[in-house]
Amino acid sequence: MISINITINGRSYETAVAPHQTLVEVLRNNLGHIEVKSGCGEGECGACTVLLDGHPVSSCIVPAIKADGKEVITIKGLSENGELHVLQQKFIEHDAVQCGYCTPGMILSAKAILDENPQADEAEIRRKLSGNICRCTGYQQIVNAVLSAADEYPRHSKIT
Amino acid sequence: MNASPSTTKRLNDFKYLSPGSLTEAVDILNQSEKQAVIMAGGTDVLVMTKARVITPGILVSMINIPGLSDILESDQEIRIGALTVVADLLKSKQIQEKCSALAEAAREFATPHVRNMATIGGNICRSSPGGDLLPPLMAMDARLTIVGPDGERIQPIGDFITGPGLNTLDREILTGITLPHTSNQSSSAFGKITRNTSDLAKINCAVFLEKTGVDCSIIRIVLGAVADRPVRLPGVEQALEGKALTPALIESAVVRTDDHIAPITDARSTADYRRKVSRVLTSRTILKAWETLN
Repeated sequence: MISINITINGRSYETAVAPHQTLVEVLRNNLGHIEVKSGCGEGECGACTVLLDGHPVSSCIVPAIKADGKEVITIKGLSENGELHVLQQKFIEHDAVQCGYCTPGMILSAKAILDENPQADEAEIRRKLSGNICRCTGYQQIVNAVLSAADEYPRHSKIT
Repeated sequence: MNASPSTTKRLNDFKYLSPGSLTEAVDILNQSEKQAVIMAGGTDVLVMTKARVITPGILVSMINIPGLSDILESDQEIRIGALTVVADLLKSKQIQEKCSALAEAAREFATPHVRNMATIGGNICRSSPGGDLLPPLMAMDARLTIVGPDGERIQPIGDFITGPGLNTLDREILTGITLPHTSNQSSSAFGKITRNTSDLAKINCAVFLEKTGVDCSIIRIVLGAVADRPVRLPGVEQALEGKALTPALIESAVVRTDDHIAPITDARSTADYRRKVSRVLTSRTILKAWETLN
């Protein structure tokens, strides 16, 4: 076992991980962050997306050891004092959630897009959300939600 | 353990080492009796390990080896560290300006998530016939720096890949990629046929060309996913070199594409489709590179 230090949503943890454990396993099983969803397990679907030092990654293909010393943001790190992040609010308003399994990853990828470019247009949003698969909505409501959140960025963006 | 889908997706138990220097890493590769596998970004190694395509005894992470993730430009060339992630290739001004084919390939590479982890060195050492970064690097005449127990050697990328997933590495480590200096009358382009942006290529293509006066003086064309490794198209190149390129001339030249490819049918495409579309993609990519110079 190897000891790693990892900051999750602003709180730091020290935990012992095995070399063969992936980040999603450690987040869910060791640290109780079950808001991170496990999907395909091979880096294709994006359900397990977290932000690692601000960049979206598929946590099912990141060895937990590689997160040592890094900062992880999960969907629970977006709301502040019970107030939803603008992206969460817009996903609700635009009915961008159906079964909800892709939603945590989808919103985190969307946050990375708008953090980097608050003026992102529809083409850029669609291209950069290509790592997150949704089998329910057909994407249109999701794209609408992100575009609508972009209108209010960066006023509502949380500094992470 | 139950053989449920989730357990088959778990990684096997392996020894994990993260050496702090190249020398130490090379020593591990040469002294261990178990199969030692190098891991850079992990996006391929971990997926193959989960699927039991490979079962490493020792996983050697490159994470603690310093100085391998920079893009440096000198008067003569651009040097890219093997651990540079694909997302950083995409952001690099030097790559965008001097090697647009590589920047375009980085843009089309897998998903944003994978681009944030996957490295250029990993894509080269995976040596997949359809690897998106390989045609641009071959078209640019990239040279690889490889370190082993006897020191450093330099090899052109075209000689490095020897078959599907095969290359000349022999208990060695790829440390960097050098792109030679190009004239300001040169350009490059990349093209890819794929089902959607995140899929692997059915076919990919890169073209580098240089113009002297009104003519195309040098052209290098590489097609991927149509043979056991990415291939140059010397027949097409010869038909175009020394001439001013026109759509009609390109159309007649790409007929020779067939002489250099041996596509197969697999999950992504059929051999027939690949053969037909190879000409189309080659022609489009040549035209794209040529038009940026005019």
